[in-house]
Amino acid sequence: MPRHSIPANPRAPAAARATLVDVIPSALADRLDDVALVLSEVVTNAVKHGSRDRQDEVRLVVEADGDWLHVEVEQSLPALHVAPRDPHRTGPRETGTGLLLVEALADAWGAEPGPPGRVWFDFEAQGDIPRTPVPSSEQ
Amino acid sequence: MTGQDHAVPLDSPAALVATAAEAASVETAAAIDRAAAINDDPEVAEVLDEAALTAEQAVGRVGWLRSFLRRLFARPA
Repeated sequence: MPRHSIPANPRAPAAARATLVDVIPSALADRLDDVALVLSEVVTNAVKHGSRDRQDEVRLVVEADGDWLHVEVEQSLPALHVAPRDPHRTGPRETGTGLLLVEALADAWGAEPGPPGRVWFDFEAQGDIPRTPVPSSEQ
Repeated sequence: MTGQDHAVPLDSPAALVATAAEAASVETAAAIDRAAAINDDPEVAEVLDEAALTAEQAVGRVGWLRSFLRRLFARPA
């Protein structure tokens, strides 16, 4: 089960995305960009809200078989209030948009408050149909 | 992995949108990096650090958008 520790700094989302190339099952290759975006959003949140300081780390645990991928992103601080913003809410949208994308693109996701806090997500092979990023509440 | 690995021909409006958005996000991230490189104020450094993280998040989102457009327009009618 591959594990990666990534420094909790502004480079973390890119560093996390770079780990995918070696671990993503070939059956999920056509969803690589969706997986990369979801991972990028979850890692960004872990750095922004779940790290003590920039000397901290974000830890990735990746589990995969032929057509399925499970990723856990672990942060030092508790993962509290992990919920997408209401897509119908008006006003400033500075928080919650990332999880809106996670909910729209991942086949399943969830959070364990911890500490350490964890946010996980799953992807399964589904063919080559591009998915439209519409929240489940709008479907 | 995202964005530049999936070039969209520049002859479509979607490609132009993707290219403009990608350039904006990448150039913003680079500008923040340049500011951080010459800044000596710890308080400003903290704000620039968060801005850099947000800019990197934007780069990821735009890379995905570019890929999504590529896939969308590659589908047979």
